Amino acid sequence: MTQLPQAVLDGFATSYAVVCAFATDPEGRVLVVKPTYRPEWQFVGGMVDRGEAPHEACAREIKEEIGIDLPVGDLLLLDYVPAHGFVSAPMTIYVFDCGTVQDPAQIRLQADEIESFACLPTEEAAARFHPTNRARINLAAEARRAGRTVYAPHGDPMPR
Amino acid sequence: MPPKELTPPDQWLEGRPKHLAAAGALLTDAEGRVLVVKPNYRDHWLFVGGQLDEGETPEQACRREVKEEIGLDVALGELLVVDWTPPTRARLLPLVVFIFDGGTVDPARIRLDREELDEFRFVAVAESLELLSVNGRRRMPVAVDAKRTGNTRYLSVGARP
Repeated sequence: MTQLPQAVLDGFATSYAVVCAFATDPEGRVLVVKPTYRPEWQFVGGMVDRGEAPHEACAREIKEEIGIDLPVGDLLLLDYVPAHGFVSAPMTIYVFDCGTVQDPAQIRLQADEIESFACLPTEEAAARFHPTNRARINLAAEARRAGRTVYAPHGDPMPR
Repeated sequence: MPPKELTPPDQWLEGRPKHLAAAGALLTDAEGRVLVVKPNYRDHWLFVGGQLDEGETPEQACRREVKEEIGLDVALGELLVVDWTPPTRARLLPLVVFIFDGGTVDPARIRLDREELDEFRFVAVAESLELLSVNGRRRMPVAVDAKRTGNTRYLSVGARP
């Protein structure tokens, strides 16, 4: 392959990759966590580190944040959020189907980052999320039901 | 009660790794053959598409590239493929590639961007595999299958994890 000059690459947008785990308890309630470092609740997840693919980052974050292993399955939702405010570059957000937490009592929280977890009906979970991220809960739940991936830039499913 | 020691939002992202992103289109003719283009700056053929510019979403970049490269306005359908590839020696950042269903186009209406592209062809999938880059070769059958089944595929280096 011909190497592209760095000057060419410099013109292209670079983005952050964020991964989220959509997991439910045996009753179908959504697993959400309260981080210590921000006021809103969120999915288990985090940012893709160097050398990781998104699904690998998701498996790592699950293990780190809640101390159990969950299978990282289908991509349920892909969101693309352009740069805004303090977010100086676009973020690509991958929500993976991480199945069912059979026994939430086995969860061991990463004390310095996560202060609590809960398994909640979708609307209650959404109410605890930052408004910007709220739509992702229902979109992910719907994607799992339908067995398909939803592409939802800015949290809006792409019009067809 | 406000939580103590909240990290200021502008520090959440400091120093976190970033990646490049590109968007391409699966375009077919009325007989279901797939469109590939030959850039003048590479030895192999490519999907129509290119890298995201600042401020663009993947589908905006895809539509812009289709317009620039073959002169057509297309309405995009489903996202077919999300493929994450690690850095290479020639490209120091990871690259994620999004492939959208660009639908069926009339070859007679194509106006090729002669500055960057030498040629376009509509070919059977099997033939496209002989023309495309290693990455394109992995993505094409997956994209065609995703279009047929209506299921987006998430890949890591061209393979389902």
